Amino acid sequence: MNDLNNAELRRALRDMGATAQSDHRAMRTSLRALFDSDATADQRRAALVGRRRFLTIGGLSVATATVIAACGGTDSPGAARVGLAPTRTDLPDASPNDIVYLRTASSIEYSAIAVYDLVIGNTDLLAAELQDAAKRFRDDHVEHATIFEDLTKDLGGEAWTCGNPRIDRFLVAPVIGMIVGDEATDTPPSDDPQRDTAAFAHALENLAGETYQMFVGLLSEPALRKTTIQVGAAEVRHAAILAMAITGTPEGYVPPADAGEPPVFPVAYAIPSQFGSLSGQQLVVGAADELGVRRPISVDTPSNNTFVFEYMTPEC
Amino acid sequence: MDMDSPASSMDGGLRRRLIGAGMLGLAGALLPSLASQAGASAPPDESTTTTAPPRRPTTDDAAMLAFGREVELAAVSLYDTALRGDAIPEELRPTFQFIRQSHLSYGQSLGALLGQPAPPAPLASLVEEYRSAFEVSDIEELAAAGATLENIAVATHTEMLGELVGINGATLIASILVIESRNAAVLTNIAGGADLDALLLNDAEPLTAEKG
Repeated sequence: MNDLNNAELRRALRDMGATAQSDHRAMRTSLRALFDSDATADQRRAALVGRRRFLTIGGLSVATATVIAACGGTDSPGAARVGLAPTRTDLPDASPNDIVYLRTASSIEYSAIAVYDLVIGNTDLLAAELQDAAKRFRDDHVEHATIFEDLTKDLGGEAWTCGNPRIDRFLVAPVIGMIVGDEATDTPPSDDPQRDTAAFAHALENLAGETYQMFVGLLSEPALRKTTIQVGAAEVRHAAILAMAITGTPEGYVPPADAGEPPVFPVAYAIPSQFGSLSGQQLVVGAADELGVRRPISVDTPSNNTFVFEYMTPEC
Repeated sequence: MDMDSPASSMDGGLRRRLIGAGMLGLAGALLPSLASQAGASAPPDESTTTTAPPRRPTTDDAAMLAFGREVELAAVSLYDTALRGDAIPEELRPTFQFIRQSHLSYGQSLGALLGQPAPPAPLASLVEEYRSAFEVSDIEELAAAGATLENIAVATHTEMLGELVGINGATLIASILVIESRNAAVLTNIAGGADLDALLLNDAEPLTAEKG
């Protein structure tokens, strides 16, 4: 079967070579006739832009370019193109795997640590009664980050010891800006920084718990799933404790049977649902705009654009 | 256009050249096709195959998940005992009813995954061991018993996740486990536990089918 196909291929190449030689001769003749004859300038112009000749030369050029591209060696893979174009840069290998999930997990821990570092000791941002809990949660996150780093190294990967680039850029930085104010983006400070900081910490703990629950369905080894959900179970306890502090008890234990109209600020519940949800959450922080409107921010579980792939290098 | 002009006099060979160019293009278009046929006939590289975890529970998974179902239904039985008693104040009844209903949903979901029909079978040894703790008339004692039960469930399911192979069973258990962990924090809070260690730590021993 292989021999037959190779023979056919050789015949096609030989035939095409002959055709190409014939065509090259034909084109040389045409060009000589166009440019070296005794024709007047108008006649030459007519020959160049005349419809038939234009189509002839244009079709010949495209056909020749197609064949050249098809016959090209493996040094220049990809689609044929005519004209100048920048050299193609191959995309890096971005296949999610266990190492990627574990690096993403440690990145989320570092993002949370950075937020707690910012508010611990600052009672303008975090209420005094939550300071001890924040310190404890921060220490837990440091421990969790170490767990994920060790697992990453055990699998032969490079441990990730920075925050999650995408979460830091598109969630942490804007939310902190909305709480403390950001002149660069003309964002006024929050009307209640303590409320918003607690809500943000609650959202981050939920995000971590949801992420690790999600990773159970992605990690390939049961042992990795077990360790990851152990951390997830601890993160959701952080979230439950914060929910009880934010909403109060017993109102903050479980959602009411008849929820009614959703309030402007989503209510934090210690047990928000019967099953662990992966659908993300809404966060409302910052001052209201001139119309009195507060825009919710979606805090979603990580997707491919948030994973810390192996080709990525830390910048912290 | 003047067909007799020097430029137009070249037309005699143009049609042939155009046909020639068309044939050249056709040959060019065929070449990749021929090349891909040649490539397709090559034997596949068997060294690059990977094995993804199965989605459905394996036989061993099914035994573990059935045990998990028994634990959940035992919890339903114990919370039913508590809700029949007088320990739970009115403002906390929604919380205990919510938790009880959650455990029932877990048992039903596990049964659905396994294709096991009713009637449900609670884990009798667990019910027997904790029944008296759920019959108390003091809410803090009751909540402490509930927190212990939730922590046991979390430990049991965590251990199970370290052995489950099928993805469907593992993801279901994970979605149960994270809520039971929250239940434990809430019940510890109701029991008067304000200490962070009490709220956060779980030192419960997991149940196994043998230990029951």
